[in-house]
Amino acid sequence: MAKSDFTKRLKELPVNRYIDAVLFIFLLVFPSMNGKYWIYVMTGIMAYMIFALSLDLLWGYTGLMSMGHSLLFGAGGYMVGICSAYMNGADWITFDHLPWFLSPLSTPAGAFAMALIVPGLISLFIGFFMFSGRIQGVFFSLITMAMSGVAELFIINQSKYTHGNSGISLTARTIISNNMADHMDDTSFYYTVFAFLVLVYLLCLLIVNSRLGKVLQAVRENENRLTFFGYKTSAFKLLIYMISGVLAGLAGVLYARTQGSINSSSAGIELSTVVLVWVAVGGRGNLTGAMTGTLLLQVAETLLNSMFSGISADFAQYWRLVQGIIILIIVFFIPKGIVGELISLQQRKRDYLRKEAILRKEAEDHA
Amino acid sequence: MEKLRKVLAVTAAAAMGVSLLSGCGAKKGSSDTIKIGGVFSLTGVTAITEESMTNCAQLAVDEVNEEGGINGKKLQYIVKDYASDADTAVKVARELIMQDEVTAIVGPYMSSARVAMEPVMDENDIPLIYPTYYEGEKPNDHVIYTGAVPNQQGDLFVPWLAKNVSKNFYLIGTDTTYASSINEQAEKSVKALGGKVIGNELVPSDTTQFTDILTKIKSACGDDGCVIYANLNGDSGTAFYTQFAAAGLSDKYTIASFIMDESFSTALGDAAVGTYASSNYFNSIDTEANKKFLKAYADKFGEDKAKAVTAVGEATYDAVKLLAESLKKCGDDITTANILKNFDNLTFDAPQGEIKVDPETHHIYLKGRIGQVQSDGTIKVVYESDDTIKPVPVE
Repeated sequence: MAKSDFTKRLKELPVNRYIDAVLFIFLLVFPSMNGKYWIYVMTGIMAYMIFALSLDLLWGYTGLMSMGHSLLFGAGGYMVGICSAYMNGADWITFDHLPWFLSPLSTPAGAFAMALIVPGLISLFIGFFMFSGRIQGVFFSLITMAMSGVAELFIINQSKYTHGNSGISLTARTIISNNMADHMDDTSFYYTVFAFLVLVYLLCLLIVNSRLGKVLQAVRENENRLTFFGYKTSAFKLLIYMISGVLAGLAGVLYARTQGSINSSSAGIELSTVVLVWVAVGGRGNLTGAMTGTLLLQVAETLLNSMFSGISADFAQYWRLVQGIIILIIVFFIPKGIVGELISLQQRKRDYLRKEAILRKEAEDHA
Repeated sequence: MEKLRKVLAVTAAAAMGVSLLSGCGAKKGSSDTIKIGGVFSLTGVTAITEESMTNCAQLAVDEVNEEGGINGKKLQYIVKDYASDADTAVKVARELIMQDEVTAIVGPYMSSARVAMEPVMDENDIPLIYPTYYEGEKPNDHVIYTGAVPNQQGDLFVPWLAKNVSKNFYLIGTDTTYASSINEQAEKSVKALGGKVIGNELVPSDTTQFTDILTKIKSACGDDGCVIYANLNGDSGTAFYTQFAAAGLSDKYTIASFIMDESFSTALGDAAVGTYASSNYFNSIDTEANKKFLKAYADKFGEDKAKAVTAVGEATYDAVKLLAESLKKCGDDITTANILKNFDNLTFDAPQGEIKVDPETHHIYLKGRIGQVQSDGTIKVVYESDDTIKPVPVE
């Protein structure tokens, strides 16, 4: 009885949870089938997946389309970057001591904590003013986008601490250490980031299936009605914006550690826009879409760039055009995103089967 | 429509899934070629500049091969696009090293990309030849720098301007390490020469509105002549030159800048005419080597493109030629340590004149030149240092 109950529940799962399982198995075995280069590429993609998940919580589930999410991603990355440059004595550092507001960055553990806290505080700050000021919809998007542009310039202009335009190189493939001797090999670091991805995914799953998650979806569907029911929606929006900020900061740290460097474009408008495209192509509001969209588009980008450069230098410039056309086709013909479309296909099929079963039962009863 | 969507969703997922698995394999090269990687932007905001750089690298590789290659082996040049993005630069550098197994990498243009690539070069023990003039840094063990550093552009520029144009200087720059250190040095040497620094201003990177500053310049400089020492990057520079000329200030005062080169002067048109530039290479340099170089470039890529070859393009050509010399000296024992060691004191009769690699800093000894923008957009050399100048990348 228990067993058939389990299989029944398994059958009722939406299709995207199966895709998740396949995705994680794929990521688990990936290093055994590929060389160092692809392991490194995939590590960066997994960090981006965490970033996309953080945006999906905000955009997909709560309906807050942040067009400046990389501000939080970059803030996280820069915390560990400044710490690494300071501890390793980079030649551009002209100050002897960190100022008081950056003093936790004198230890790697402090920097890791700051990389989660600072983006959380930034989103708390921005969110507080926006949500208490009842700024909604497109205005939220535009203001966040402007913030991201401001952040990029701020980083460039604060060159004393950020090395300006040039960016920072930092100790790669460690989590809490800036000692070159502690850095992991590509595969170990891959699995470290993989573990973070699984944890973040489970956390997101927990959030969206909890009562909090239901309230967030209600905010997305009809905020006015929810307010009428006595919910203080701005508090819920602030909470999810903060959680999303912390996760984006974590993604920024992991990405910076994968690359061994961080620069101002990590906080800029371009990355903010690109992550929206990943989530849109994959399908928003189901977690799977954010992850698969990131994976597919990033792999496609890497392969296209490599293929086109392989043909000839003159031809190489067209890879972006092809990438753009692919994205346009997907967004135009499947506006729900790839995973979103698959879910609604499954839904329609299940509805059809259910209706048929009812009709059959009625026919039997009449007979 | 419904069916189309269904088909598209499934095929998109499937096709991308397949490409995921198929694309991931290493390519093996044959042993009678030596592979050199190029990391340049073929797309993105700096693509216009970097197009001439990758062309120059290709030209140099072809010339080396026509002359018999490296001890019987051919050079193969593989360029990857980093799309003006430092993160992509790291990715393609790793791809060149790990997938294509290149012996050395030439590139990039952007400082941020170089900073990001340095740890990759260190970790994988591969030499990088960096062909861009830049702000100077503590030399990295794996990098050979073939562009000019500020002392090679600035040390003769300020004295020459003070002597030939005016002793009054108004310094303005983008608030970056590069421009602020240049202007700091300029301030010191103006004072040492008994000149006057009338203003010293740093503006944020995206400044495109210079009305206040132009008013300040006007009131501070008055009727005396004045050198406007402007080191502004990108759009900011374009805006400054244009607004300066539109305000009618170019009759009274003269702009001098590190950033001016042939591509910039052509883009600006009339607004740039008469202003001064400082560089180690100008397209108009009258040497046999330069004529030969530009002719070969024109034959390969077209007459118009040859006019757009600037200092960074020439430095890329030099970078590959020097690398080829170093590889020749390695004989059969091509290792990173040997390649880097053989660069010490290496000389090359470059289009800009003879250059030499400084064994201490792995930067280049080169001649400093001052040029003036002509009405057709070319830059005429008005002064040239007698000897090559020692590079001082860090103070």
